[in-house]
Amino acid sequence: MNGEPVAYHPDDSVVHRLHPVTKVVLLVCCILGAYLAPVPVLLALLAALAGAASLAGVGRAVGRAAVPILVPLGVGLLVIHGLFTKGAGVALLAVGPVTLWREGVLYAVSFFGVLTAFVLAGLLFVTTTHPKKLMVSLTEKGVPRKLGYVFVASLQLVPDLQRRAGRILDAQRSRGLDTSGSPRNRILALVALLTPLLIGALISTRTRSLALEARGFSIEGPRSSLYSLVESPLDHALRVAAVLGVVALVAWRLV
Amino acid sequence: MADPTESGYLDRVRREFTTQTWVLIPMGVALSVVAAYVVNVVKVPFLYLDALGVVLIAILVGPWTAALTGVFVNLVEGFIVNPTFWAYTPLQVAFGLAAGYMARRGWFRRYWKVVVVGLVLAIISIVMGAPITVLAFGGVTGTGSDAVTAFFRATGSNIWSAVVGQTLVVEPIDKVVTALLAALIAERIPARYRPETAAKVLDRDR
Repeated sequence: MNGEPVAYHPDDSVVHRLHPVTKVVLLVCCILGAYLAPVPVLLALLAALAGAASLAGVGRAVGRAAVPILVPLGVGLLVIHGLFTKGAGVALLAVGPVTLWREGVLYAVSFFGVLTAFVLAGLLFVTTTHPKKLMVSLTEKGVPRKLGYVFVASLQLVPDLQRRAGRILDAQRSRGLDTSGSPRNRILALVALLTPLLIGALISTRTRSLALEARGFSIEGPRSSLYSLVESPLDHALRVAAVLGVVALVAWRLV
Repeated sequence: MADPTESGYLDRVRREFTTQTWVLIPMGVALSVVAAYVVNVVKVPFLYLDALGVVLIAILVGPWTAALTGVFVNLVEGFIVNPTFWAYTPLQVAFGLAAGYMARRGWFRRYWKVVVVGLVLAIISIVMGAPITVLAFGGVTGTGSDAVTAFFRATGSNIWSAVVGQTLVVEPIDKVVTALLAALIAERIPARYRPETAAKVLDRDR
């Protein structure tokens, strides 16, 4: 966890207003497509993703989240393939014992393009899709409601538990907990930090399950929702186009 | 022991999922995500602990709940940390099932047995994780482990053996520590806060 967590950016752009299920379909198709596509199609996909991000007004947020994810991946690819995948043996650059091979660099760059599409598609989805609306739309499509609850509750619990972890860390340090020193000490420090965290969380689950039961969590039957989600013709068109695009790429690969 | 008929088995799975279970799953998910944050603060090398919540749920509730927790750990990490986590979801599911079944059979009752559980998780991680890393990410993970992969590449290994070599170095450490931490933490839970479904851990209730 370095930097700020990725989060939903509330807005009312065309991308935000797409039905969440449409965005799930687009996300899956973008990721599959990125792995299947030849380079020109991949570049078009990247351009489309960047365009959609700026259209949705999340260009900066997506960029800021993407850089710390993509830079280590890119450096890793360049080192692991650029330096060691010899291929036909054409050197791009040689500094002392280190040689950058042409074939390896080409492989690294094209693979980096695929990963960029993967990460951009994921971040665009996350920044423009309200988790609760996603849950409601998936429940409407037949996903069990309890799974939706788990998803939204997990997302909400993370910052809560993280705050609690920070407080426990301060409290244990003020009682003399050593969080530096030998690996053994550090692992024991982890026990001293995580045990109160878990016990606190377990105590709160008791209250939480009583609260949920009191609100009819395990009752079967239809529910009404605060959000009304509409599927526009644009949604249908995009879903069909995305699926056809992936089918076309699979066909192209097989031929 | 389990009822041999299929309906008996499904009943056992269904009995795992009470309202309290549904509340424990998000807690396990959040604990896995936050453990990664705590490790970052305490700074132990080669430790990720992103399976800790899953293993704890495996001990406290059971294999199927832990598998479901695993799905959501990576789904949620993909949402708030890094979308590439989505690709590794099958690993967490397998961790949950393996740790859950081993917990029910008493594999968390002695320290050496807990180490074995950790090694089993490490094997799962190597067998399932290395193909994902190579095929979906070209052999990189975007973490410090890539330095180990680069080292193996420098010794002349191809990309498959380099990634397997990297996971052989990193995974046993992370997974054994994860299993031991899960056992130590589960043991310290006061009896009145332990879920009724909890498996026996370390020397408790011998």
